[in-house]
Amino acid sequence: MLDVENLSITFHAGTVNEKKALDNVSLHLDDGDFITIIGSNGAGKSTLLNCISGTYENDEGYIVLDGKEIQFMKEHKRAKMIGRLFQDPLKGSAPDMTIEENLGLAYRRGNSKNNLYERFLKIGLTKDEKEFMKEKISQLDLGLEERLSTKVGLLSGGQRQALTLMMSTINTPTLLLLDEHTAALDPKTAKKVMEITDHIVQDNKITTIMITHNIQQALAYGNRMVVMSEGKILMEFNKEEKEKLSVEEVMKIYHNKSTQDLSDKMILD
Amino acid sequence: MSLNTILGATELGLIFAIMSLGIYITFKILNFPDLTVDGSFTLGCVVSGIFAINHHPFLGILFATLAGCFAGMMTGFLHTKMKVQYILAGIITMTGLYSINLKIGGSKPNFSLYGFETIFSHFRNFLSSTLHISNEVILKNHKLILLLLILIIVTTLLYLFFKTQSGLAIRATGNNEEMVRASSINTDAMKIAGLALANAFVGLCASIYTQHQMFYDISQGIGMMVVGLTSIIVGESIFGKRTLLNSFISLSLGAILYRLLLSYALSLGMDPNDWKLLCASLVAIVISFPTVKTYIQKRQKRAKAKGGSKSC
Repeated sequence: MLDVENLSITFHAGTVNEKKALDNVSLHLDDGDFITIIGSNGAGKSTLLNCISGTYENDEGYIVLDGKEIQFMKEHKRAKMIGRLFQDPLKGSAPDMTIEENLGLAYRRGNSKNNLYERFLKIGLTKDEKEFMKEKISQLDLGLEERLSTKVGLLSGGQRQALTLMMSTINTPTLLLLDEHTAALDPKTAKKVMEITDHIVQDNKITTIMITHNIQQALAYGNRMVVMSEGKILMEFNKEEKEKLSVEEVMKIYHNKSTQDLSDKMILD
Repeated sequence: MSLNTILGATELGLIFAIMSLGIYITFKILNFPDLTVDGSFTLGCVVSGIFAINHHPFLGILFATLAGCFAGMMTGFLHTKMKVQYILAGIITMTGLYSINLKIGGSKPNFSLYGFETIFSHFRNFLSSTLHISNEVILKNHKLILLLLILIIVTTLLYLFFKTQSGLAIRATGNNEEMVRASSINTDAMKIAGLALANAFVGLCASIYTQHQMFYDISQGIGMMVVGLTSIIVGESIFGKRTLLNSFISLSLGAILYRLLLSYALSLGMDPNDWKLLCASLVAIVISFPTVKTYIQKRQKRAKAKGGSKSC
């Protein structure tokens, strides 16, 4: 499904700010895998996702998705296969356009079955498409199906994030990337959006990578967990190992890692 | 003001409404203040004028529109592919167009279309000889009728375009670029398309303007961007901007109002050279209005709080 092989990227190469954000990272995902990634700030989690989606071009290594090498493919071309959600709930939808227009855009463009006329020049949505969208959005259980012609800018952060989730999965993507997509929401809404996410991912068997700072979330969802640190993959846990782990034990891994950093530094000094 | 002045001002307003539609696309929809306009307007004028002198006024309209379209694409290319800042990209295209406009005009900075056929004279002939209309009022106002028809047609087409998938993609690009890229749409292409469309409208407007005025001058385009902006701002603040169609109608009415005000000010004896300063000030004031308002509100709130604490 997804093969990330020896991926490296360095920012500001050749200056004092040089930072190796990813250092020889390799990661393999099978069809239907749901991986959670945890790690402290600057560990390279978001950079990894940005390399896979094409926001950054990696310096070394390669990325294979569904048998296709994609590391030189442009971002918007990769987006046909990859759905993405960011931490900022405002990033995923256009505020001055209605819910229906937002969904329509995501639906029509991503659907390669549509011909040129349907993808570029067709006006509005057909009755069937409207029904389909209503049905899809009612799955969110937020009452949005009655407000299809409301401008998205008037929705709350949680509602917008749920809508973005719908937009990026309305044509089932090959890969779904979630970059702390519930971190900016209040605990109750975050829980709800996370449940909806899990529901959609399980129902459609979407291969997913999710970054989170919430260790409990990382343990509760998905079938594998990866711990990253300083641009490297520190540890990997499979389903059985993950089920046995507790939040405290994961905290201990973090702690050990940071004291080790400290002692390394002291030796250097 | 006489009725004739009012009608004349309305005609010009209808013409400039087309340009305002173009500027609306860049300024409001794409969020891209496009200075190409000052150059592409003159380009439209000169192309239309040269074709009219060579007895092809209709081809003049067509090619002026296409020329505007290319000018917009140039700015779009500079901005998206060459990473030139958007203001600078517009200025570069506009500056380059000055020489091109002179070349097209045969190195003449101005010429008259007097005695040549225009779309308006053709339309008058069409009304009287093909449709056999002999009503004096209609024939006298043939320009007004033609302009109204053109404006209604282009506004409808533009409105429908923004309902299509491509139109939605352009709107979304100005609204949230990241989301558009995530929906696997090429935002660079959308920006170039939007700029091309906007400047096509400017070219169309300019081509009609020259044939209406029967005159071309190299300096006709100066300050056109601000003229368009004034129409949009005046129109939207008076006639509303709830929906896209509402905005389109508002800015057309704004363009007409702008011309009526100009005629009125001139009839009161204002120096025409002062008009641009007045417009520029108006745009600056209206755009800065919300900021000044919040500043004053904050001051008042602070003063109130101070007064309150003293009385305690």
